[in-house]
Amino acid sequence: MRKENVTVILLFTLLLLGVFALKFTVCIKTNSSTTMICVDPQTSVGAVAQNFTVNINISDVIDLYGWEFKLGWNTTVLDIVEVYEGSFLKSVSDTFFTYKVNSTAGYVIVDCTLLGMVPGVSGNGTLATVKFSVKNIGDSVLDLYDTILVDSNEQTIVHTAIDGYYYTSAHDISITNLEASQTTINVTVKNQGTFTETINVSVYYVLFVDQLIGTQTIMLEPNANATLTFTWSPPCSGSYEILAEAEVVEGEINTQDNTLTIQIYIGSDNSGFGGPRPHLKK
Amino acid sequence: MRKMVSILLLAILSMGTLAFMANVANADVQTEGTWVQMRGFITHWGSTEVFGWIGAVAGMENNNGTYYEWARAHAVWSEDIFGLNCTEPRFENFTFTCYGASLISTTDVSLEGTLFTILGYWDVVQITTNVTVVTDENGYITDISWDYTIEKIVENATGELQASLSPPTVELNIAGIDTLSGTVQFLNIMYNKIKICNIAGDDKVVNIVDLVHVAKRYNSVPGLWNYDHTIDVNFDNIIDIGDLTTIAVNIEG
Repeated sequence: MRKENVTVILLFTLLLLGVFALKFTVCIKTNSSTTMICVDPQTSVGAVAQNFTVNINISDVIDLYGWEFKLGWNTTVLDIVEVYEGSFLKSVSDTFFTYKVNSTAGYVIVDCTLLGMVPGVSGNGTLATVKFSVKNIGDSVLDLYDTILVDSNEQTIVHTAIDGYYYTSAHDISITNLEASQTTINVTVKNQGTFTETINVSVYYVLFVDQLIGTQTIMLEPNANATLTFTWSPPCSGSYEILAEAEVVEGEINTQDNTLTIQIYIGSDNSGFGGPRPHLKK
Repeated sequence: MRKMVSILLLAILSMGTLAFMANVANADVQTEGTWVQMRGFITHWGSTEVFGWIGAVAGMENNNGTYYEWARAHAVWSEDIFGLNCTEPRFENFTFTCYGASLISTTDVSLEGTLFTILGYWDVVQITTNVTVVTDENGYITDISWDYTIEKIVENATGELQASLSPPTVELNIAGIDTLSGTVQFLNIMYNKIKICNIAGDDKVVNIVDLVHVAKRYNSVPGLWNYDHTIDVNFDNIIDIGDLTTIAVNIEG
């Protein structure tokens, strides 16, 4: 290859590199600052139909006057419930706080600023708290992006932003229905998790102390349910509280729906099924 | 030699393509219509020398075949030139008087070349502000409080605002008061919908930077050093929750 051709190719390469460098310089985030804004906790675990919250925390900031962030999520798994202002700015002075939710795209934009001629706030703290509800089993990055921090001189503060992560607990058993008559008790149990579970289901009645009616063991595939029938002989007529309990399986987080109670009146005339108002036992 | 020429041509073509792609990526979506944004300084009220600001935004839009015009305009001026134009707080109590004119309804908007005209009905108020300044033993300001009275001196009067770039002058004639005149600071004619809330920085988006710019001047009125006419977006002569809310609802997600 001739010498001048090599020079031209070299020049051309340098030219292209220069163009790309110019184009991408603005996109490179600097990590020289120690100020950090992050989702806390970094990993959240929840169960279907439950709520959970994450904080958006800031650390090592100097003279923070206003902030903005966007938080995105997987809309097939999560719904946003509410956004609350954190204490970091408002503990010092009056603030203006606002947020807008885009449920379809799955993000919220949150803004907060101090008001008036006051200095900014320094240190660590919570900017906001975001409450989510879990719609379905799955996982989601809690994507913290387009974060802007502004100081009291209206200059932006260099910082880094750290995302969070959510996943649905894979183990979840639920008692979904409970019916009782003078002779039988029907308990419907559902596996809401993602693993096949072997579940011990027990039924008690309450008179003076909880009396065990019986325990049955059942294996359920994910999303399957079964109704178990327990026979019993109430010792006397009167008002009974029937309690069904599915034993907590290993790794289960949502245990609130593992028990269900109903009230039933057992008369001397063999009255029918009772308990029209089942409720979760606290 | 031919090889060299080919390589150079290739380089120029590549750069041209890159530049074109960048432009396409940055182009805003065109909306049919013309929008005008004007700001200026008021220097005279009749023959009296005054200082003040005047601002207007207007749109002449074609929305699915329906043509309509709208305008918003506001002016603040005072014979106390130093008082309105101050950029530092005063260290003693003072009373400050200024005037405000607001366009209440628009009857016509036109643009011929750079001659921009708004016809409509105007209110004019006189604002008297009593400012109390508290200082500590070292002379540092510890608190500034104020109360003001607003007296309507002209109500729903016909008026014409006319601004042009050649020469860069602005005039506001409102029935019942002397003519206000001054100079045009800028007169922008745009073919993209204007973002009236993008007031701080040149980032072309409304965000926390704009919100902070307003929040820093929260509760300020004409006569206070931190009042900024350009962020009084609802033209009520005070930077307050109304302005913050207007900015907030325009924050782009």
